[in-house]
Amino acid sequence: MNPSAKFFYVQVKQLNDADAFYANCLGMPTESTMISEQEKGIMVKADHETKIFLSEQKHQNQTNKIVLTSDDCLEDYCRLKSRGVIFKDRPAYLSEGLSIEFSDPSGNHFIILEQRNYNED
Amino acid sequence: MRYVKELSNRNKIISESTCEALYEQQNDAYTIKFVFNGTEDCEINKRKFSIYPDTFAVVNAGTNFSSKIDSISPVNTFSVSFGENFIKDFHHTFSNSNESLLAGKEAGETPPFIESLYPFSGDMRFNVLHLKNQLDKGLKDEMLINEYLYHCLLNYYKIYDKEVAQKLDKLSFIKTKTREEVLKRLTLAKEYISSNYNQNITLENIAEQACLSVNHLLRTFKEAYEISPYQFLVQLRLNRAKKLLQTTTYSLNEIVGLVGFECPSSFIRLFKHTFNITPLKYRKSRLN
Repeated sequence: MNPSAKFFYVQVKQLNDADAFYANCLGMPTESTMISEQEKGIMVKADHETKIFLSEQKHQNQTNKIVLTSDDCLEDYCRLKSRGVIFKDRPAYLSEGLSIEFSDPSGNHFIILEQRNYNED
Repeated sequence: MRYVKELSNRNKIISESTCEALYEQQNDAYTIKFVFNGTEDCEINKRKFSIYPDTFAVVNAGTNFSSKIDSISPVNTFSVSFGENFIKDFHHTFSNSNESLLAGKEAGETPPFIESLYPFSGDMRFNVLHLKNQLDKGLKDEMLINEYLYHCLLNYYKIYDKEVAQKLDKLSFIKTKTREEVLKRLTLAKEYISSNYNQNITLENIAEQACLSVNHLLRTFKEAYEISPYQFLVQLRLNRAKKLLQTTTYSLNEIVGLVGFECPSSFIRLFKHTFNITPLKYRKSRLN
């Protein structure tokens, strides 16, 4: 997976549950971090370029829709499915490419998109 | 180099890279055949055609099939065969709504595919290339391989709908059987053009291969495909020339000859008119 954006700030219900989901189900390395001076959070390294900051408190810059890009959507689908991720549906074809969708335990919406250039030679 | 991957559900994939091969057999399962470079000459029930990298062929179970490869550089072929139950399940899921599936409706018979050449592009190309890359790297995970194969069939059904079902609707004959018969013959015409695009072929040759009169061929071909057989031939030659510009170091004159154009100036004019770029500028842009 190569997430298209560099940073995502995401609110979760419980940091411990979120940590388990991101680390065990999604297979992404996680580490404790400080979101602000007072607030603990978790930093998820989605890949070497992209980080997701999880916190229990609400912040203005947070999003609940995370779009990750993939080189091979079917490979990611099968890999994550075998790790226990429950997808909303089977991989679906969009005008941009192939995509799959799932939610984390806090209800944040994830889309994995394999962008395909259908006009390429 | 050759490898065969046979899965527990009897789906089978064969990848081969060879300069010379000759096969003759009764095809034992629904098969989709791809060629990644070069050409594979095939014969199905005494019908000859060639698979190029921009097309794929579908062969039904039970069909007598032979193929020949004779090339200076290795030709990379890739064939996917589907187990009977896999394809039946797929067809059942694809053809029925969620409601009837939940009601336990019986799976209908899988229809025989129209054995012909289909365009190898779009999602089918992306998915098959992924599958091939994974298998080349030694993929063993059957769940993932079957997922690719499921999508391969899904992509094929969509292509079939576009290339067969929608074309049938465009033909103006009242009787369904007449439309089906005419489309079958037009398919033969397209196959013949695709396999002999670099030869000096005439409308009479094409019509003869399709068992249609020239006038009938011209009228029905345009009705189904919205272009004339000649326009189809020129498009094919230009697209294959484009591929050669992209993937080989052949000179422009060599490419002109290889794709069946008689003079370089008309090729350059047609290429520029179609793609808004001259052939040499196109080659340069691809190198960059």
